[in-house]
Amino acid sequence: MNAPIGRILDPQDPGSTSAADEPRTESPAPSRSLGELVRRTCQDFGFLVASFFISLFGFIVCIPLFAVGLGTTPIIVGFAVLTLCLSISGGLARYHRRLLGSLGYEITQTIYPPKTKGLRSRFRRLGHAQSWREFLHVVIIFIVATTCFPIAVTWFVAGPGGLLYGLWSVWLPGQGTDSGLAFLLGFPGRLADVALNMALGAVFLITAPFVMRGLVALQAGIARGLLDDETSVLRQQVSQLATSRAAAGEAEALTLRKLERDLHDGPQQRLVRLGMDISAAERRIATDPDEARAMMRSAFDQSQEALAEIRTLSRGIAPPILSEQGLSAAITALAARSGTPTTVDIDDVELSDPAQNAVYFVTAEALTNMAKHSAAQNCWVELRAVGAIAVLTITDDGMGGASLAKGHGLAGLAERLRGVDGTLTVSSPIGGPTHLTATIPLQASAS
Amino acid sequence: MRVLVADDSVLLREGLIRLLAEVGCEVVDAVPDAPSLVEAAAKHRPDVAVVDIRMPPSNTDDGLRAAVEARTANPELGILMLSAYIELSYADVLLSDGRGGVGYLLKDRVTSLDTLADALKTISEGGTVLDPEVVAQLLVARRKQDPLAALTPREREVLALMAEGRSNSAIAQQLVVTGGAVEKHVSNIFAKINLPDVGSDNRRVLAVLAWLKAR
Repeated sequence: MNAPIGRILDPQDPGSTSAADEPRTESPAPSRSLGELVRRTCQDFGFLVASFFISLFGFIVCIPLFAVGLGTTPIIVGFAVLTLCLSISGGLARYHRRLLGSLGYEITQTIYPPKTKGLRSRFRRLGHAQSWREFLHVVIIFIVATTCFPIAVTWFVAGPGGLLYGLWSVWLPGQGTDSGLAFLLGFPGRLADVALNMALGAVFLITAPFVMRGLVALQAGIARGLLDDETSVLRQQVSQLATSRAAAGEAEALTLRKLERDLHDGPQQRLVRLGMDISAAERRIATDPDEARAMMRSAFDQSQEALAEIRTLSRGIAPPILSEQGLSAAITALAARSGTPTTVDIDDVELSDPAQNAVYFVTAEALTNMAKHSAAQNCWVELRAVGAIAVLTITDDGMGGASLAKGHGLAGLAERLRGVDGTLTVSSPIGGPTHLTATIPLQASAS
Repeated sequence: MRVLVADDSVLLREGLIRLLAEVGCEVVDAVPDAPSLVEAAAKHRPDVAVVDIRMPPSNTDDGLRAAVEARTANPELGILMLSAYIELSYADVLLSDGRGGVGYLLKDRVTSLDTLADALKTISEGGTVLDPEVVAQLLVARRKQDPLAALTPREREVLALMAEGRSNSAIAQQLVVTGGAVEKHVSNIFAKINLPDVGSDNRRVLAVLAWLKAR
C-alpha cells in the first residue's frame, strides 16, 4: 500500500497540489513534547468517538435501505433505494476520509462517474465498484468502531480517574469496609487501595497514547483498504494528461498558422515588392538613370526590411538567446526591447524546455499586448518558485481591460500554458492595473 | 488598358501601380479589400482587375469570390488573380465558366514586367493565363497507363506552355523553334491524348486543362 504513486488530493480542497513521487503520509513521528502528546491523544480519542457515532448512524440508515432496496428490485423501486443507500455511504466515506485526513492519514477521494443525460445515469452508482466498497466500509467500520469505542473510553477515563482515586473515592459507597481490589489481592487498608488504583491509573495514562493511536491506525487501515480509490485517480490523471496533450497540439497548430500568416504578410510581401522595384528600375536604367537609382535604393531598403522581418520571425519561432543563455537573459532581452520601462526579477527556476518556451512566449506576448493596448508607464516581470509551482507575474500600470476572451492575444497563451499543465489568470479592471499570473508545475518539467 | 488593383498590402499595391504604369496601363483605382473591389469594379468598369486572392475581411479567399462576383455583374471584366501560393481549387473556380479572360499567377511571377504585360494582354483578349506552377501540379502523373508517359520531353514542354494559355507563336518564340514545328508538336500531342484539336484559341487551352484535371 505504501508504494509511491502520483496522487491527486481531495478536489474539494483548493489548497491541495498533486505531488508526484511523494510517499504516503505515515502517522506523524511521535512528538517529544508532552503537550503535543496530550493534544494528539485527545484528537485520537475524539476521532474514535466521532467514528463510532458516524458509523452507528451509517449502519442504522444504510442497512435497512440496502435490505429494502434489495427486496424491491423486482419492482424497479429498489434501484432508486439502493442508489440512495450508496450515495449515503459515499457521503459517510467522504466524512471518514476527512476525519482521518485531519489526523494525518491522507486517503484519496473517490471520483464518481459523471452525470450524463438519461435515466440510466441516475442509477450510475449501482455499476460503480468503488461505491459498493464504500457501502461495505459502512458495515465493517460499524463493527470495528463499536469495538474500539468502549476500549477508547476506558483508556481515556481510567488514567486520570485512577490517579485522582484518593480524591473522589471518599464519596464511594461502602468506604471503610474492605471490599476494593487491593483488599481482594491481600493488601488491606485505605492506603494500599489508593496506591494500587493510582498505579493502575498511571499504567492506563502512560499506555493511552499508544492504544488510541493503535485503534485509529486500525480504522485507518480498513479505510485504506476500502476507501482509497486509486484506479479513478489514475484514470483522472490520464484524462488530464490527454487534455493537456491536446492543448499542446492545438497551441502548436495555432503557432504554425500564425507563423504562416506572418511570413506571408512580412518577408514574402517585401521580397515580391523588391522584385517589382528591381524590374521597374531595370527598365529605367537606359532612359532615366536618376529615377532608376532612386528605385534601386528603395529596392535595397526593401531587402533590409525583409531581413529584419525574418530575424524577428525566427526569434519568435525559437529565440536563440533562450537556448544559449537561459530564461533570465531571454526575458531581460525581451524587456529591453519593450517600449515600456520594465523591471525584471527572475529567480533561477528548474523548468523543462517546453515550459521555458511557454514562459518566454507568455512574457513576449504579454509585453507586446501591453505596448499595443495599455499605455502603461511601468511594467514588472517576476518569476518565482513557490513550492512545486513556478509562478510568473507580469504587472503593468496601464488602463486595464485585458481579457482572456477569444480574439485577444491572451487566449492563445492560456492554450499554450495548458500544454505544459499550466494556468493563466488575468486581473485587469478598467483603469488598471493589469496583473497576469501564469503558473507552471515544476514536475511538469521534470520529464 | 484600364486596370483595377486590389491588394491588402500597401507595399504591393504601390509596387503593382508602379509596374502597371511601367507597362503602359492606366490604373483606375487601387483598393485594399474585397467589398471595395466589387464597388470599384462596378464604378470604373476597368478592362482587367488584378486581384490578390487572400484579402480582408476574412483573409481567406475573399479576393477570389469578390472577383467572381464582379465578373458576374460585368462579364467583360478580365480577372488576373495573384496569390502567394498555388491552389488548384482556386484555378478551378476561375476556369469554371470556361469563357477565358482569366489568369492565375504566383505573386513572385509578376515581378517580371514581360510576364505581367503578356498576361494582361492575353486576358484582355479573352485568353487564359495559368502559372507554370499550376500546370506543373496538373502534369504530375497519377496513373500507370498515363498518356503523358507517351509524350516526348519536347511535347511535354509544348503541352505545359499550351496549358499556361500561350498561343502557338508564343510557344515557338519560347522554345526557339518555327511555328510549323510547334503546330506539328501540338497535333501529335492531341493525337496521343485523344483530344480533338480545336484550333489555337482559348477553347484549346480549356480543353487541355479539362483533360489534365480529369486524369
